[in-house]
Parts: sequence; C-alpha cells; structure tokens
Amino acid sequence: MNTAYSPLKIGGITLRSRLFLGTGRYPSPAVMREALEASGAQVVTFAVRRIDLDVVEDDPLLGQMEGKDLVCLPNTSGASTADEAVRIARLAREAGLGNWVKVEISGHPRLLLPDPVETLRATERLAREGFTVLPYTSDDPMQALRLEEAGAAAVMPGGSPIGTGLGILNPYQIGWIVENARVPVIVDAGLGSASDAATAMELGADGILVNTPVAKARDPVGMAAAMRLGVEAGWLSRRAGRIPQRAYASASSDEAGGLFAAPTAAGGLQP
Amino acid sequence: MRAIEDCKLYVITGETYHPGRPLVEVMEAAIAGGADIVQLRDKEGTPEARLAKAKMLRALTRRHGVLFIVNDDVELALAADADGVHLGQDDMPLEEARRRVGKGMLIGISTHELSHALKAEREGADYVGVGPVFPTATKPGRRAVTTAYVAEAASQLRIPFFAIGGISPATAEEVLAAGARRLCAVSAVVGHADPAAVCVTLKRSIERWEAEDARRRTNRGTATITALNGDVAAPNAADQAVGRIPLLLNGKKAWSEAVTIGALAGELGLAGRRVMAELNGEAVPRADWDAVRLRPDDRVEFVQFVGGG
Repeated sequence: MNTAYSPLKIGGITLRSRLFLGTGRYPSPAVMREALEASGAQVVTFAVRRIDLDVVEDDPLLGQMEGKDLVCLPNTSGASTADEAVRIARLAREAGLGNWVKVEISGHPRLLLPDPVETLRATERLAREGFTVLPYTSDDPMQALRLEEAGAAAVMPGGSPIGTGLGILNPYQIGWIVENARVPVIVDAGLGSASDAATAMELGADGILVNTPVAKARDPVGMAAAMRLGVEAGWLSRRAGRIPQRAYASASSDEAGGLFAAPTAAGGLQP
Repeated sequence: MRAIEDCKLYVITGETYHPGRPLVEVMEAAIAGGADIVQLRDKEGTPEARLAKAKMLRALTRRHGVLFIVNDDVELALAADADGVHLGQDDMPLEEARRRVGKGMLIGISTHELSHALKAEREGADYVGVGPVFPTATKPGRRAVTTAYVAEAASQLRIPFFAIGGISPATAEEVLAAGARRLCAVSAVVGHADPAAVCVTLKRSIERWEAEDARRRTNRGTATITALNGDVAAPNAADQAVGRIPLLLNGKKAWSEAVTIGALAGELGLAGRRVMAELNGEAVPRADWDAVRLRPDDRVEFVQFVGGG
C-alpha cells in the first residue's frame, strides 16, 4: 500500500507523489528519465534559458517527458529581482505546460539564498496574475507566513543552501514553519540523502524537492528510489507518531516475573 | 509536363553517396519526399551504362510526373527522351545546345556569379543553378559563392534559379533567408538513410518561406503606414533595400528580413519546437507569433526549458 501517496493537493491538482524532482545535472537524459521513473515523482522542475541560436538542436529534455502524466514546475532561477522573475514566469507559461512557477530569486553569489523582499514581491504579483506560485524561501517561519498571505500555493523552505547536501540545518525552524502554515510545505534545497528526506517528512513537511543529491549521486537511479522510500518512511513515521524522547532507558518488558532480583547497584538512580 | 516555375526541389543523382543501394530506389524515395526534378549526373559510366540508367530514371520520373534532366550530355538527353539538359560553364554553349534540342526541351545552366546568370537568362536558359553556396564534396576545389550571390540572384533574375552546393536541412534556412525559393541537393538527400524524410524537410522549409512571402505581400500596406508615422527608426539604405531590420536577438545584434516573430522563428529553424518568445520584455503567446510584427531595434528572446531544480 502506497500510504505515502495519499493525496497532497496544490493549486487544485491532487498529486500522487510527495517527492518533487529536479531535472538538472544528470549524466544523461536517459539516466534522468530512469531516475524520474524510479522516484515516482509527478512534479518535475525546469529552468528557463536562452536558446543557443548557433547550435539549433532538438531539446532532449522535454522529449524524455512526452506522454507522461507530469506536473511541470519551471523555476525563475537567474532572476535577481521580482521584475525578472515575473518575466521568466510569463515566458514559462507560454510553453503551454500549465501555470505553476517556483519563484527563485537568489541574491547571494555563493550561498544562492533567496532574496526575501524580492521573493515576496514576485509571489504577490504572480499570484494576482493567476499563477500557482511556490516560492523558494529561507527557513524563516515569519517569511513563510508572509508568502502565504501574498498568495503562495505552497512554501518551499530550504533545508540548507542549494546543492550543499548539508541536510536540514535548523529542524526547529522547519518545524515551526510546518506548525504555522495553512498551505503545503515542501522542503527544498540542501538535502543530501534519503535520511534527510525522511527527516523532512518527520518534521511534518508535506513533500520535498531534490535535484543535486539524485543527479550527482554515484547511482542516480538508485538514489531516486531511495528518496522515494525515504519520503514514504518519513511520512508514515510522522503519522504513526514518534515516542517522546527521554533521558533514561526504559525496558521493553515488565520486571514482574523476572527470574532474578532487579539490579540495585549502590548509588543507582530510581526513576 | 510540369512547368519549371512550379518546381521547387531539385535532386541530383550521386551514386557514390549510397553504395549498395540501387539508384532507382534512392531516387524514388526522393520523389516520394517531394523532389520535383531529378537529374542524372554520371561522368564515370560507359555510354551504354549511362543510357540504361537514363532510361530507368526516365521511366521512374514519368511514372511520378516529375521532370527528368540529364547533365552535360545533349545526345544522351535526346536518346533518353529527357525533359531537359543541364550544362556547366565549360560545357557546350547554350546557343548550340538549343539548336540541337529544339524549343521543347529545357536547358539549365550552372552559374557561379551574377554575370553568368544574366548571360544565361539573355540567351534563353529555362533556369539556372546558383552556387556552390557552401563548400561541397560534390564539387571539390570550387570556391563557395556564399549567400551573397543568392541574394543578388534573387533580386536580379527573372527566370527560376535553384540554390545548390552544400544544401541540407541544416543550411536551407540560411539560403532561403537570403532569397532563394528553390533548392537543389545532392549528398544531403541521396547520401541520407531516409532520402524521403530529407526532401520533406526541405520542401516544408521552402513552403514556409513562400507562405511568409504571401503574408508579406498582403501586409505591405500596413508596413508603409507604420513607416510614414515616423515612429520607427529608419534602417540604413543598404539594409532597407533588402528589407532587413536590426534586432537585439538573445542579447546579440542581428539583422533579419523577418516581418513577424513567427517568421523569425522559422528563419532560425525554431518552428515546431517547444520554444517560448519574448518581445521587448513581454512574453508573446505562440498563437500570436504570426501576428506580432517586428520593428527596428526590437529586443527578441527565444528561450526553452533546460534541466533545473
């Protein structure tokens, strides 16, 4: 039973997978296609770039997607202002592959962290224009709330900077974003492996987005499958409810009926 | 017999490009893909072998209703009952050939500069070849005439001309943009595993440009009014003469004859691909591409989806 694929609804679309997959940096389009299949992902992300007019060739990327029931999530990477992000979003919409957009406005050259002010502006404008907006944001619970008020269909806090594989650096903040949010929370950026995916889901995320950890894994297809299982495990674990963390051991069986006397070491502590 | 004016795609035999595949099979595929004229070019075989090939191609072309031309050899053209003969600059003079074949047979002339073409037109050639536009293995050592000569031919000649030399689906757009509306190919067609598919592609490119010509003719009135309003910077005289305007295309300076975004996309070989366009910062819906007109110094972006997270 694929319990983890119980419905997640964003922008009026019911998704069968809580794993969103990026399409960049795979060894080849064929590996990407196999990884996509292994991941079970339905939402796939793209970037928008100028065509190299000197080398006009067929686009292998979308060819790999033909005939599949996928939701296309173009990002606005390359934009450093709200105006630029809006332009990219409008261009992406003309591809005729839906109206979803991941607002991604990076300011910092080395950390690629999202510019909060421009991200908020772009989210507001694009939501008004009828886009289904999923802004990439830092792990700031207040910013997440602001984005929600601005019309975001989901918020996408980063676990750590894009492509670092550092995992979730501040689970406390991610937990608070989840606690406050009335829209789905998709943990995006920085995840490194399947355990990070499970952690995000256990923190209450509704889904995750990964690209580099799959594309750059030694075996991208294997890691895609691992991510799928990590998301599923984390989601089930969250719903099943983890036990409270405690300081001392607690035996799995009752003492009553034990063959020997209970240990009473000198100075032993009694719970 | 089909009129030469109605012929757009001309394919010449080149058996060295398809070893192991019969001549008739390859040429039949070219005809199936849309070749309007087939020319036999065979300088190697014995007279008997050449006559046998000519007769086979005559039967084939007659069956499909396309023109059959023989290269160089007036006697062979007559013996095989070809529709025409094609002569190079160093072959029999046109006047003499005309005396031999009479008025009923087409005569085509290879030309490598405008003076050749104008002379052929004066002397009664039915069409000329213009080229080699690009360097080609079929004619090693001959200097390419480039698309500059194609543009000259387009503005000066009244008889049909076929651009030849290195013509392939990859180069066709450049040649058509220069003004050719008829193409002639050898290796790109007969050396390809699927000659029919290559012909279909070439024919479609030609037809796209013809459709654009027709649209431009109907739109000419509008363009004049725009210019009279004075809200467009005048292009320089040379470019205005050939109707080209300056654009900032994907961040680079470019000149184009295209009147609309759709025509520009066609010129760049982007038609039929999942590509998005922006004009002066505004996304242009695909459905409007053929209606949105270009003006001098417009900023045009063509973008596509690439891998990303």
